Amino acid sequence: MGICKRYVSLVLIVFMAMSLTLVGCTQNNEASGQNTTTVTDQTGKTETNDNDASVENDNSASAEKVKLRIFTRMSGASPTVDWFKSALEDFSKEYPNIEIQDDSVSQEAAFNNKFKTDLATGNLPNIFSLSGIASLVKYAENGALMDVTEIINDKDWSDGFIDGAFEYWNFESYGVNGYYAVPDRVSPELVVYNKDLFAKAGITKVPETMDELYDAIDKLNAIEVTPISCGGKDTWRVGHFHNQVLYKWCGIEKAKALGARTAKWTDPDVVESLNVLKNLKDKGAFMKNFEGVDYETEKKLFLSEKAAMIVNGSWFIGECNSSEIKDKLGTFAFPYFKEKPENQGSYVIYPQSYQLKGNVTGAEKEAQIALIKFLTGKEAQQKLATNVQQMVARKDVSTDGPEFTEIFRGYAAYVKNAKASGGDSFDYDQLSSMQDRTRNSLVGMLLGNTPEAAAKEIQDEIDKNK
Amino acid sequence: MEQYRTNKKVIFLFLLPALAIYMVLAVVPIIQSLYFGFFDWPGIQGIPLKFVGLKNFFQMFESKEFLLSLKNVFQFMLLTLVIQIPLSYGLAILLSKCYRGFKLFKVFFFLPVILPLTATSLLWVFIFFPNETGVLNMVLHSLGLDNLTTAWLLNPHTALNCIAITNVWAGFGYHMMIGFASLSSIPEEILESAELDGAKSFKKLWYIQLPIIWESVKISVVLIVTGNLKQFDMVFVMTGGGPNGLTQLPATLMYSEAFRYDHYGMGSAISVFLFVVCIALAVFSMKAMEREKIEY
Amino acid sequence: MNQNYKTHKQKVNMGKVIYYIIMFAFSVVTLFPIYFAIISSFKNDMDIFLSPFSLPEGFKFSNYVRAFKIGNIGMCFINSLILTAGTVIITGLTGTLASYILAKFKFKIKNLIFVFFVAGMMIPIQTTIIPLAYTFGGMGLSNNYAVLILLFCAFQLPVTVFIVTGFQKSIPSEIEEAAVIDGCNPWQVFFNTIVPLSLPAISTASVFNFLFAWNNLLFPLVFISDKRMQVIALGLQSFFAEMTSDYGGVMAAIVISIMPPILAYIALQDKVEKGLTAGAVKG
Repeated sequence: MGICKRYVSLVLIVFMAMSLTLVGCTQNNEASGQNTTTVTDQTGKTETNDNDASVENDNSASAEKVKLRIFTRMSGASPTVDWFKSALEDFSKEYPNIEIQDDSVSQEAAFNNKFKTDLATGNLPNIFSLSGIASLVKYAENGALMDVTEIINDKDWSDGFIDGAFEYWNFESYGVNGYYAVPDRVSPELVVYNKDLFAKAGITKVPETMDELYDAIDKLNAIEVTPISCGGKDTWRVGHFHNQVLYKWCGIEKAKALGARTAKWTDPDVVESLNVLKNLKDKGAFMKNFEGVDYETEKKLFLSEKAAMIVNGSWFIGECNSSEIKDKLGTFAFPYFKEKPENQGSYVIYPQSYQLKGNVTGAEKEAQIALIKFLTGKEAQQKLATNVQQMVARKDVSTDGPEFTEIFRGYAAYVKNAKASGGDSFDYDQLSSMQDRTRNSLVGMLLGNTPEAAAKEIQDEIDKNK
Repeated sequence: MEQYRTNKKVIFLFLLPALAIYMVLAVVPIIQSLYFGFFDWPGIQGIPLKFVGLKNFFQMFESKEFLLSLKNVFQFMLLTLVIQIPLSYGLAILLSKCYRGFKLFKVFFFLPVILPLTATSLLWVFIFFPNETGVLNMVLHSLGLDNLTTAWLLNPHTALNCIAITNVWAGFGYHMMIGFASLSSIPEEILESAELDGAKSFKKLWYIQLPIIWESVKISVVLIVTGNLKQFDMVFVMTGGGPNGLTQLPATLMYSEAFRYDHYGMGSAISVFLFVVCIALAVFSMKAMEREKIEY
Repeated sequence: MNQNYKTHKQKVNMGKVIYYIIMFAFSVVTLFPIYFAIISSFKNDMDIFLSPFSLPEGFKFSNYVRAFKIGNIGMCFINSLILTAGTVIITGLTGTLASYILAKFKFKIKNLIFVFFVAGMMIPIQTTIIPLAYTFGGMGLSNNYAVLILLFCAFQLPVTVFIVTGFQKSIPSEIEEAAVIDGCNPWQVFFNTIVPLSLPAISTASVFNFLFAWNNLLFPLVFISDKRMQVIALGLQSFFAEMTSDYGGVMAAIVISIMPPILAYIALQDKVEKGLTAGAVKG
């Protein structure tokens, strides 16, 4: 019978453990909710002025632990990721009380899925990095994002940014007061090419117009080198490619008009831009079955000299610099159409930013502000610029040294030469499904749909959600 | 003893944990999901639900994506049925001959059933990879059939069929096992007496084995139909519904609508649809088969 | 007789040859993807492309090292183990308790409750995900293994109750009655006689529960966002998404993730086959 009792108590223990964990978890949540009244200021001075109630508990500061979640695309193996990880480590050294949990995911689809689930389950990370502007408006409206106006007031930190950097994130024109993101890098996107392969194919000067590009494609195909490495499996690659064509054919204002719904995707000029992309495929610009190639493979093809060009953003600089063929690489702006000289200076530049979780108070808020200031502060950004050679949004960071490579200078010159710049074409539309819709339709078109059908598909999505 | 068997306190206490867990975490959410079908929600925690009546359902039936997902799931089911049933039962009949080594073959065929679907799907993604990196393309290449190579999971003509083939691979062992179990339930004497009567193996198959496995075949059909209606993992891992939404099935479309495009109302409507169809199918098939009462 | 036997044997031989050809062909088709994963996990990328189908020259574990270091597969593996063990224990315990009542006790709505449980086998679990995300989110229950275990348990109770109740009905009542006469209380009867006697059925159901918890993708996808709590099914998928071009590493991760189910199958072959086909096969 002794065994009986032991079993019974085992059952009881299991159940108690279960209920305790459950209760414990809910209590944890409450606790973190309560934390909000006991604010700590890590540096000892009050940087913000909206938390008067907090001051009384200041002496508990050293004991209080805060946990922050950060969620970016910087994951996997790349020089940028190395920078990111070491920056977080540096931060932890300076702020031992703040524990950082890095949940970053590099692949876009997984990143988006995870963010949406976090949003739905009320489990938003403290700092995250979504692309686009218009889709952020809805989150700002609903209080999911923090208005960063108050931290912009910290001039020591914010004055170092490029003039007007914050204005991009002013949502007033969308009907929401405030600034809802902190500028991260600016990521221009252009063509990186392999000088050796160009020479082999007999291409003497980099293509400036589309006709010259078509010519180069033919020459590269003649020596059996893939002209442009591009993959459709990660659909953003095709999306980015189309941005280039769209801005060179229709101009950036057209994309803004599409977002504002004053223009339609089925307009002839937009359809023509789709047609250009399809023609590129038909001309053999990309590798066989490129629709199924993923981004990692695409980069590998280019860096192993199997392809002569790749259209990629400045996030690619680090990988170029650490590759074996770095001395063979050069850059040029995406070619323009002779028929549309007015759009020659319309460049693709993706502004990247960090957003902060809204509806946060107390210690958690202080901590997330401290982290964002650290990450985008002069010191960390200088390292990002020097070690990874990224174009940062701060003017107090120097990018002049001899360590900056030709590729970096190419990107930097591109930014300087831009007469007008735009990000993703769907960035101007508030409908969050447009990101997938536009890119999926592009892939669908490359796989056989007509440009007209693809344009209609995209326009239907807009009309359906009016 | 009678008193022991009717002790209300014991009955209540022993049933409570299971009932409570089942009720709170399975039954209540099911009821909630029916209720959710009539509401819309922007997918931001803290924002209340908005009642929209039948709008979600109208939207669902008007949506091209949903109709496509229905067509896809139908094609997917049909393909699975047509390949899987003859394959599994053919193998089951062969195995039931109990030749030397049949146990080993049985284990081989059943092995894919127990693998995590994520792993299975990834294994087949590597097989279907485009260009010279994919195993299938490598094989075709080495056979000199280069013109047959394609980006299997991207090509609109092959993507869904490739997932269906993966599904067949992952599941045929299961139905083979069902068939094998019912065949081995045929008493030895019947088969022996049939042999004494001079029945040839074909006749044996036709008159004795087929009628017996017919019941199992019906069960397999129901399982394949309801199972594939709920198919999620495979499509999610292999194509994510792409290219251009061409391989979406209702379950993955539900996930995409809700957790990617913030159309929670539409997602919920698809949930309700799936639930109703699954239950209807289950009830219908039970009626149609009039299986003898399960006795153990 | 002898003559007769011989011709018979020859005929059988022809049949047998065809039989073995078919069986071997299908075995190759079935085992090939698994074989490919295992051999590739020991090769570097070069060898995978140059000689994809040959055995590796020696065992290189560098792929496994990367799977553990970059893909965090080891951590995911342990997480899945915890989650799976929790599910198997809680489901087995609560399910067996309920089954005992449903198999051996007498009360009015017994059949109704049994049907109520078993009906759960038809519920498509995907349909619960939106309301669960909404409510759990509101209650702050994301990233919580206890909740996830109970959730798995809720969806595995129907099949557990179905298998165990069916089995317990066949346990002779005399054994139980003897224990009652000896003065055991219901708990003691349950743990001393019912549990040991139902072990075959409990283990059959547990195999089912084990595979369900180990393989489930959807619930962790929605309810676990903490990278350190990632389960293997999802860890595998995200490792693949991040490192698609690292063939060897992904293959190593796949091999790690399929080992527990395969080992379980080898160890408990009969239970696994029975457990999974329970409900479709009688007995």
